[in-house]
Amino acid sequence: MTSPALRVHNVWKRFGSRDALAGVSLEAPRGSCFAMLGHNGSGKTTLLRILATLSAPTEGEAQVLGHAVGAESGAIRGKIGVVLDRHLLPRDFALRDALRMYADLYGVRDANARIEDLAARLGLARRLRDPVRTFSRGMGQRASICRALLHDPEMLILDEPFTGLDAAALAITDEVIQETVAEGRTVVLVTHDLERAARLATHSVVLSNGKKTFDGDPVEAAAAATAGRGLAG
Amino acid sequence: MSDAVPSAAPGTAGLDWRKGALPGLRGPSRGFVVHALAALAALLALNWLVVTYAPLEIKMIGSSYLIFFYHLPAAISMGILYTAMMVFSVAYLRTRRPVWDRRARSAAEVGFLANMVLLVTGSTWAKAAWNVWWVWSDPRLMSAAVMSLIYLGYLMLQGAVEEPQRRRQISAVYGTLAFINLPVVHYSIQWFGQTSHPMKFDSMSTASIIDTKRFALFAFFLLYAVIYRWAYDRTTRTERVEDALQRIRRIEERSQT
Amino acid sequence: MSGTTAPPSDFAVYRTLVRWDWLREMKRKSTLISMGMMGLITLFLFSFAIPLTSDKADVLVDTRAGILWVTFLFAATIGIDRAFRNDAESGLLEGLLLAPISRPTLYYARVTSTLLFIVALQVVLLVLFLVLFNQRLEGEGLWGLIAATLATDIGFVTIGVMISAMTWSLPGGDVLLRILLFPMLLPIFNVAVEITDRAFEGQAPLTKHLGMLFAIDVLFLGAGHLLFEHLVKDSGGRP
Repeated sequence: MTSPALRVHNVWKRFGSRDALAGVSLEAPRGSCFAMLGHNGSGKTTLLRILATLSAPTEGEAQVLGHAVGAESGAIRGKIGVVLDRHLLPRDFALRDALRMYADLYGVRDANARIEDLAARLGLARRLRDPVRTFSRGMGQRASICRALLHDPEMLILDEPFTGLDAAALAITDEVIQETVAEGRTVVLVTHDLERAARLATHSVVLSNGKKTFDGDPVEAAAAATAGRGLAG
Repeated sequence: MSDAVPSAAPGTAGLDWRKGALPGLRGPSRGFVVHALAALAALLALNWLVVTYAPLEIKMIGSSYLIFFYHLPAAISMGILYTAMMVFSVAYLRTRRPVWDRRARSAAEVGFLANMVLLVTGSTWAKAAWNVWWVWSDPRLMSAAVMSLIYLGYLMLQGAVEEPQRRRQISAVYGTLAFINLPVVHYSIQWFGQTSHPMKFDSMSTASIIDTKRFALFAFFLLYAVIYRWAYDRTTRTERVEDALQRIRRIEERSQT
Repeated sequence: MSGTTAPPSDFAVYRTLVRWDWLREMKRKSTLISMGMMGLITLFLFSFAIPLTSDKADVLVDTRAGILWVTFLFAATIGIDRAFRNDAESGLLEGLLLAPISRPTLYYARVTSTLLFIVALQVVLLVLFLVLFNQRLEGEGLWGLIAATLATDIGFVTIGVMISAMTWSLPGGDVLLRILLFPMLLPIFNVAVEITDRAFEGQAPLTKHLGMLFAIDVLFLGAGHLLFEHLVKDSGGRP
């Protein structure tokens, strides 16, 4: 357990001749809330997709929880829970069944109890019978977090989790992030919401044009990113 | 946005326009011209051999058989090029280096050309011998046609995928699948139809025929190699020019904002 | 490490995937219905293409095996095209790729569920064909046809799922799928028609035909096992 939660070394990702990531290196300790900040197109989502094993770096190495992305992607997948902009649940099923499918795939013990438990925690208990396709953005987000937490992951990765949420969903997302960190797990958070990041995160980096422009305290990151915006525009 | 390629745009330092960064942009290299001329000369010499030297024995079985001096090299070259294309595709999947993709693509293009030559010469012979251009029941004609469809699919795939990395990945997998399919196509079709494909060449081993056959193989190998080289240079050039244009566009965007 | 999960075996994951694929299809049956409609329409088109009057009955005898297989092919291709497209559009595919599922397992599961849909379709279409075209299948012919159809379907689907994984994200991918897939299927198609021809005559398939289908299945399955991973390595498309 000595390896850091994330270790990214000189990672490049090229799309055609566009460098979405141009040599990014970073490290995140276990048990931290690690925020990756930046504007649209800064490369933060690309990096997240690499860390979530959905994409492979063109060059460089990335390690998640001590496992190398690529060679040991399988081991990583069992230990991370990922919340993307879409909820990734089968739309035609009732929420309970949709979650049940993932529980089966992850091999969750006592799946029904676990689903009840998480649903209650996320305020979804009364919607377990409703088809997922009827969910609003906020409900979808809660369901998505529920899915990501099913297998009790060591790391929670969230991609822009605050966009388009109602106040209640925002509060719950905040709460889940704080609780997860309090339990000693790692949260990786990609967002452009500097204020929230400054409040929640313990560590942060700022990406701009595929390069890391800041690494350190989240409160200072907010200032750095604002300065960066002034420079670019 | 200006049309002219800037001679020293800022940030284009990595692109040396003179030192082979864009092969063939300033005309073909001298080596390429020599090879192309040699291939052309060999082809002319082959025609001369076919007309004057070889036919003495062949005339007895019918002069339409002369086309096999063009048909046979096409068949062998096609086999070599398709095999090479599969090897390059696998190499790409293992190394992820774009150069293997360019090689595979060029090999597929030239292989497809040889495949077409094979079909056209075969069909021409069918017209001379059976008085029809196409015989659906002939397994050799059919398997060559199916192969050409499979590789035409590969060439279509090149234009269909916009994202280069994804295109290379898909192409390499398809290229490997296509090759795995070749023996299937060949044998399954072979097993059914009654082949009327003449194999008289093998039994006729007079000196003039063997000489001409060997020379035909040499001439066509050279020709297909030259075309492969041309195709490869062209692919490389296109990719580099696109690359350069994108970089210039980005520099422009950055300077505008 | 934590007590909440017990990593399931590859086979358990495979079973789960196939089961949920089936349950998902049963919710709306959209793929099955589209395939069935396409098959039915193709059969009707053939009724116009060939003379079905009693004085030209031998035309149908010569072409019935081909008609049946062209119908199967057109209908089944819809299912193959959707092997990934629907899930990718709804985002479910990303969810599956995020789960600790080995890529070959995902491939085999998709092959199996697509195969199930196609077999269900073929049962319906075969009955329709026999009724509409007034044909009968008996004894050895029937069993031979069933064996050969299963062996052919495996070949169809193993290669089809691969091509489907290549084309679902491309513009015009549904058309491209057919252009890429059909030439590759011609050899199996050829054998299947041959066997079906014999089946209508009441004869069992030749061992060499079944052997050839089996060899092709093994070859394609092996290729899929090795190559599928490369097609989903960088998936999702959206950078």
